[in-house]
Amino acid sequence: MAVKSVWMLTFEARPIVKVGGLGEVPPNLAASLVKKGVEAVIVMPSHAPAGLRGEEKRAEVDIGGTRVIVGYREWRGVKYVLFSGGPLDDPRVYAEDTMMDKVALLAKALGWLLLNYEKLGLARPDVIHFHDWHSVIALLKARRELADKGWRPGLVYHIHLLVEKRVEPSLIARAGVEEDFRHRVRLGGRVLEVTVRDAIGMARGIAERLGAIESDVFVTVSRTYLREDRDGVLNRLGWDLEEKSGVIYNGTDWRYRDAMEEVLKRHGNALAKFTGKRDGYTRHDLRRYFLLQALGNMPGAEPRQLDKELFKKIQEWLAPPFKPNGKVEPFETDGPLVITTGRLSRQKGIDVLAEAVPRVVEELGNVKFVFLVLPVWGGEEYARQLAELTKDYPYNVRTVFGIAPSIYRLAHLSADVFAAPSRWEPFGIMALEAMVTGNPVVASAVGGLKEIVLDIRRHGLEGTGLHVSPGDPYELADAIRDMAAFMEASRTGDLDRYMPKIGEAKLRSLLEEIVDAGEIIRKNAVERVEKKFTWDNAADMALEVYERSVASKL
Amino acid sequence: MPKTSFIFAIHFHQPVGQLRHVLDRVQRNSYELLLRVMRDFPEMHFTLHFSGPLLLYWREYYPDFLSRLVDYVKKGNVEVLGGTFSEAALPILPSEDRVKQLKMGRELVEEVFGVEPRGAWLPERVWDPTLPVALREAGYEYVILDDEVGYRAGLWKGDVHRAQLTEYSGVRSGVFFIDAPIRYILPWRTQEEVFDYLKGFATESGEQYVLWGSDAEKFGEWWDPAPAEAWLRRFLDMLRHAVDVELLTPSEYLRRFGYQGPVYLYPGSYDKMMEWSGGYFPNFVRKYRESNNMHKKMLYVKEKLEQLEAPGEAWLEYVTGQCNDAYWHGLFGGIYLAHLRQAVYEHFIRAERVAEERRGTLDVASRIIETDFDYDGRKEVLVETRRANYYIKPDDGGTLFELDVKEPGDEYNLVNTMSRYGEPYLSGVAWYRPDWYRRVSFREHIWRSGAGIWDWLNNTPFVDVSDFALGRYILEDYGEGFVRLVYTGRDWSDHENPKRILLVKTYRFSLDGSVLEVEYRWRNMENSKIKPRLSVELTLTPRLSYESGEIPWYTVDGEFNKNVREHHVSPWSRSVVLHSQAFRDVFVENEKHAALWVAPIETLSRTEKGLRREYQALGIVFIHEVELEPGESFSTKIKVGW
Repeated sequence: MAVKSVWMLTFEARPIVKVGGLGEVPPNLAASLVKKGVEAVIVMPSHAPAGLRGEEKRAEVDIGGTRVIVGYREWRGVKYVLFSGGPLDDPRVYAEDTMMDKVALLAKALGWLLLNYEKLGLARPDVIHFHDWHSVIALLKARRELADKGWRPGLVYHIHLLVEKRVEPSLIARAGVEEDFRHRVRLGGRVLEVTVRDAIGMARGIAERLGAIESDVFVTVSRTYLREDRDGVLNRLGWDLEEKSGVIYNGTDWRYRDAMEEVLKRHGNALAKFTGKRDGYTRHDLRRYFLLQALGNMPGAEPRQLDKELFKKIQEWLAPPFKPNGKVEPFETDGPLVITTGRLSRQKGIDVLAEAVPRVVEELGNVKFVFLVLPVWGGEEYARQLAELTKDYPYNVRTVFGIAPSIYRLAHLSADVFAAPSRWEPFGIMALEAMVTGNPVVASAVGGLKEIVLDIRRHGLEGTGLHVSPGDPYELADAIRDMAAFMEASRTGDLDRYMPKIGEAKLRSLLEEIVDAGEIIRKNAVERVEKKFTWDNAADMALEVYERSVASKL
Repeated sequence: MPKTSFIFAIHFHQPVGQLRHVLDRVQRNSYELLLRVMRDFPEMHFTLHFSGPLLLYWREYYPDFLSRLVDYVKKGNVEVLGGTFSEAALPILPSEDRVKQLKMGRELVEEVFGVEPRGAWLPERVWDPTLPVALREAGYEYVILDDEVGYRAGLWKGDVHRAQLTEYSGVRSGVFFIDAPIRYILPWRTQEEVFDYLKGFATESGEQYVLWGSDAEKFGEWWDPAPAEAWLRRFLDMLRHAVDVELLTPSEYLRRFGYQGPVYLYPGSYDKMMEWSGGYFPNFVRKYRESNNMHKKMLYVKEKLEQLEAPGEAWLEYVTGQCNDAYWHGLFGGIYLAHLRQAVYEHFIRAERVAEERRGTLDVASRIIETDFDYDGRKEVLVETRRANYYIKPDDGGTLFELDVKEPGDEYNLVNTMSRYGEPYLSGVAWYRPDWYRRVSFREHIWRSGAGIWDWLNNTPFVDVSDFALGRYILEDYGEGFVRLVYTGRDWSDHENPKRILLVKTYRFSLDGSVLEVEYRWRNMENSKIKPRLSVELTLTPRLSYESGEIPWYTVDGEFNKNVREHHVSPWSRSVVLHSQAFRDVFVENEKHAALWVAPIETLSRTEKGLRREYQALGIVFIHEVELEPGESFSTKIKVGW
């Protein structure tokens, strides 16, 4: 059966609110589905009082005693149904104190929507696609609500990041799903009739396993994360789920040309003045401009802070080369540029990179590191570590705490290496953004990074970066030094100077064969993303999964 | 009648870089004496070793003596030993150089005396078990070692008084052992005591020998010539008439008694050397960074000469620089003699210059090389221009540890300095504090308020409140004519709250001239004001004259003249000019006025008359007392020109 209508349930989506990588997936995937003729609807909390997310009010209903406003907006052809009211108004998307209230209320709101979608002018869904553990209760609610309605869409459950969240039966009860609600599930090749209580028991109380059991098909974001990572999905949740598992890659809507156009639009004049050229800027021109000027010239409100309280704390640690309000001085000298981006959480391994930096600097003194990072509570020590590192290495390190759109793409287009030191990384969209802007990526060999990045040691001139063991700053330092020296050797042709700094024999031999090897690697990186990791491809993967879910639903 | 074979091996040596007045004195007091006496005993079968450097001195300065010596050798019954060309300690040489040294040493003896040596005198008798291969390749049949080496390998007394055979990799080498006790009695006790000792080894066949092998200077230089000569004449006269002691050369001994064997010997040398070196000669290279510097300069130059396919002239300079004396220290002199180090550098630099000129490699403006020059696991930066080399050590405070002037005839290292080390014989000197950093140039400090010249000079603990001096500077970048180092150090005056200071230090080299300029920029990286006493220390060595022995002097700000053994303190100065008879003036100039300390860096050495100060180099310290607002910088430039 051709899938014509898909709903997605999520806690975040970029046009409404984005905290992490998840926020990119539903809107982009949905937009690509729309292009393929599928009606796509994103259902989520607005995380703000009604009307603040650009939505129009479509309904106001009492759900279990809470007055819930149903809002509606469209973006890139995707329909957004936003619920606000009560706990759903809390702008702290994942705040612990309101989280369970949001989860339960979102489930109930979905229950209401399943019975009232026509009122909003929506088509009946062929598939509902639930994202991450926050939507597991809603998944159960959908089953319960449609148990006696004579129709049910395929149910797809999508794990972006496994946190093994514990669910209490009481939470499910709060969503209006009775513990003894009997229904059929497929597990380990068998169909079982279970109550909710049974299902929770079979799931060992883990939300994600429950979601996988209750869904028709469940997916995650990479094969490695699904099957190989020690802390990956099947290794943690159980191999009895294997037969109903699948993969939908994330994608990126970044394109090299678009990124370049955006940068030229924003920086064209300054760039012309800086370089004395009108056009034909080389990547090195961009690097010099970024390092020596733009980095030190972020406009007024940048870097923007998501959490003012947190930034206030971080600010106490800042001194030159930081300037007031988290701005930074530009570098005084040019050099091979390594960038990284991400949240300051343990997962992202930014601390591992920070530990690697002095080792790289010792051997490659002109290297520049730019950290574009988002502080989060719980990651204060990482922020402090970066502040100290930046002050200790003013000729080599800059850290931008917060969001800096004016330089984000410029940094990507200027860089020579992107570091992705994640301890674990289900997918790793940052690696796509890095590669599509022409950067080889030095990445931990985990999750999606293992599939996105092709190790040059194995793939030669078809490679796009290097893999390292997660959590090992020594190996990371060696690989970054090698990659940065390789790119700089290739750019400058000064093999005498840079070749001895490359420890990896394979890299040296590639350079000896072709001095332009760096440029070839850059091109590979761009092409690999533009061919393989588009949202269009992701939508094709999703459609296959959707059809599987419809075909296998009980 | 039982008898003892006696081998009397006299070793004549003066190091490369010896001062002319010392040569003259030793020549007069000792060498003339010995030749005179030996000629009066023409029938005596002496064993003689003349080092390559000394033979070359004789050729240049004392040709008449040399021709008399050659006549004597040709007429006499002596055996002349060969050895290395420049009296180089073989275990610290690359294996090809061992062969080269031994071959050239043999050729020199053949050329001067017209004899073919069978045996080799090993410099400082430093043995390494792999040496048979090189010895044999150079055509030597046996070597002279010390009984200590035999005893350490488990030989008995009887074994070290017979010729032994050892082998390495199937290649044989004969070994004679010097008897240690006789070195302590001949010529220091009565002749009768010497004979009594010798007779203790008598056998019916006479196959036990006693080998005296030591310095010629013991006769006439170590004690007064007149009694020394009288002692020796009486001893030789008694020997001539002795029936129970027979003077033989090693070859004569071998003809009669041949070898025993096999024996296997550890690396080693004489008893005292084993003590000084900690049991292994290459330890000196480890103990003294200055020795390591010279040794690694040697290895570096070797590689360069090979790459450039250098002409023979360059190789001759190179092997001359391998003379052992400047690379180690026992009780006296050695590495602590500035002129010996100076000469080692001169020869290596000359070798390098000749090779570069011949191949035209430095027609390009400059070459900058990152390499682990000193084998410490970290890279140094070597800058080579046509007229100078500048060696920088980023991980040792970004210092300049060698500055080679490469002008023809004026080859020399301006940073041929010596640090002060803990020596066993200084352990009782309460006020003596070894240097906590290598005394080289362009090292930064922040002095505690109140610290003065003597605190700096005598290493008062904790007067440098910063971590710049030993900081691992980052080699940030380099290019045509510059090397830039950066380091974020801390001023620890307030222990609880150290202050970050960024230092950007840029060495600039005039590509065709003879000026080194170091640009300094210190920046306050705190959000509060700081008041550091920023300081730059240079240690330089005005060139010493081998001929005149005159000590260099200096002028501060064009008006205060002092000799390098005097100190100078000024609150507000800019320049110091170093003068020497052996080289043109070297100027040190600070772009900004600063407080200035100048003082000799002197080591302490033990002599019979007590401790003596030995001049090594001149220390120059500029101190800028500054106040820096948050983010504010202080800059200056210091030039060294010649």
